[in-house]
Amino acid sequence: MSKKRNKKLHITCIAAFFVLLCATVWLLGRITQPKYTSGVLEGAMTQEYYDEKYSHDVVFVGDCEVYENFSPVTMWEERGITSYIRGSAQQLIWQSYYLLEEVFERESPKVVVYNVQSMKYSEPQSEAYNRMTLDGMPLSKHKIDAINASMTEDEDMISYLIPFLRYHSRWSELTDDDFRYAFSHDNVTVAGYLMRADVKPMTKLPTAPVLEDYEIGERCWEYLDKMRELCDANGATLVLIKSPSLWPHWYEQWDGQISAYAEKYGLRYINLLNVSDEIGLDMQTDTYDGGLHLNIYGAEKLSKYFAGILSDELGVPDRSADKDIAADWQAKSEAYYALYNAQLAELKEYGYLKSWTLGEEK
Amino acid sequence: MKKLTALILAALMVFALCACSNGDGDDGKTADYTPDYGELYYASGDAKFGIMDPADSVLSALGDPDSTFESNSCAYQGKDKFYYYDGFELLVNDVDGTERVTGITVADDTVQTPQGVKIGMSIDDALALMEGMEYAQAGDTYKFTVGSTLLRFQVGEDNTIVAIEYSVAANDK
Repeated sequence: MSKKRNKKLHITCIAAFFVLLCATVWLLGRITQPKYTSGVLEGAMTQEYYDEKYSHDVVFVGDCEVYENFSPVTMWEERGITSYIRGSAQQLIWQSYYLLEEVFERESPKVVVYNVQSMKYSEPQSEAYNRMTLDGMPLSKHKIDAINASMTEDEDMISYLIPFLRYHSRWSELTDDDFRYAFSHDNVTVAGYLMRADVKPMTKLPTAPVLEDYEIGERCWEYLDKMRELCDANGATLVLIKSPSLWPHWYEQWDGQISAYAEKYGLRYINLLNVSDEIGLDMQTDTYDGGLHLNIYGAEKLSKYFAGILSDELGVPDRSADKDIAADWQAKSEAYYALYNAQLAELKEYGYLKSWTLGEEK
Repeated sequence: MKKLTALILAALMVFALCACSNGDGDDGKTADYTPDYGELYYASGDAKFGIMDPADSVLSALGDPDSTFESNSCAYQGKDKFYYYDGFELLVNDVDGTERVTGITVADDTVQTPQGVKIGMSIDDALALMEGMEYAQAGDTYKFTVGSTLLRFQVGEDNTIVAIEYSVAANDK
């Protein structure tokens, strides 16, 4: 065998080895990455958006106060509004921004709704929450920017890009679901809404903690500016809301700063805490965790109220006459009611939601 | 061929090292942790307790609370447990596997701190009762720190105390 041919063979072997290594690492990453198919479902939410077939006139971004409190199916049924909630657990404002960048690359919503609760955090908070929001994003500049903005001190970019580096220690706790959902997923939300049909009445809320500083952080304003400019550039109306969750406490000092910002830039800011009675919320029946999040009964009330604002005041169109869109929402409605009935059945059988919780909320 | 083998082995070693460097490390259990609040303790009846005390012994000394409130963080990433007693509230969290008192909030003017400070009192009177303990002022908040305990008095516009709160000093953000 000639030297030249030998060298060629070596190069081919090395290339084949690295291709095989990359494929193996990628495959192991798919298997070991948490699937969030039961109990903690929030980590499965980000990826569901990419399955959407039709565009949306309204997109929500924010934390649990959007994905637990608003029901897109109800807004469709009430006013023919097409909406999607790009929410995730403790979604920080820079994550909302980069998710929104991604949205505008795919579609042109008329209205973007941002829940301002997350402006209390001006620094990265927790790897677990970062992972739940970011792991589901496909690789793109938006994802890399979001990771860079979100990483805590102990995190590194490479483990986001090669998930096996982060999750290899899960090998001993892998379940059937890890293999079953390595390349597919079942939706845990309906158009981004994470349903809860159980009820836990509000009792007494704790005294609001003393804060060292009531000023909203510079970094949050910077990203709110970017979000506003992004919406302007794409012809969308940015609406700021404070969802009507009663805890964690929403300080009047924060409210004043958001109101001033909205006034300065001509944005609509709706503090829904102030209109809870008008919405008809009753925290004895409309929350599943004592006032933190709304259950389906509260979410439907809030969504009917908010659909009125979107339709009457912000001009969001009724799409119910479009056959294709109506068929898509018919399927979503069916999934919604099937989910509701499944939760009612579990409540009847176990007295709590076994499949949608960690099983401790009896 | 030797070079090829060496290269492959090197690549595997680098990868293995990368993988291991990201493993979950030591949990840092705090079962043996000794609270260090010094004079910044709180008292109710015969029970004296402070920040980072094990919750089970404190709750056992205080007896049944008037009511409780549990606040699950999103996606089960932690739970705040509040216990309401006459005039004050306890916040309990899991700290590395042990439930500990991480917050004590004076809820109204029916109770006072062991030094005699209570809601509605002027800050000057309160500082006098603290007997020269060093403090730092930031805006309307006066902070005393001992070990891992932070005691804060927040004053209103008329310079009277509107909030008294003990918390973990590391949480002073």
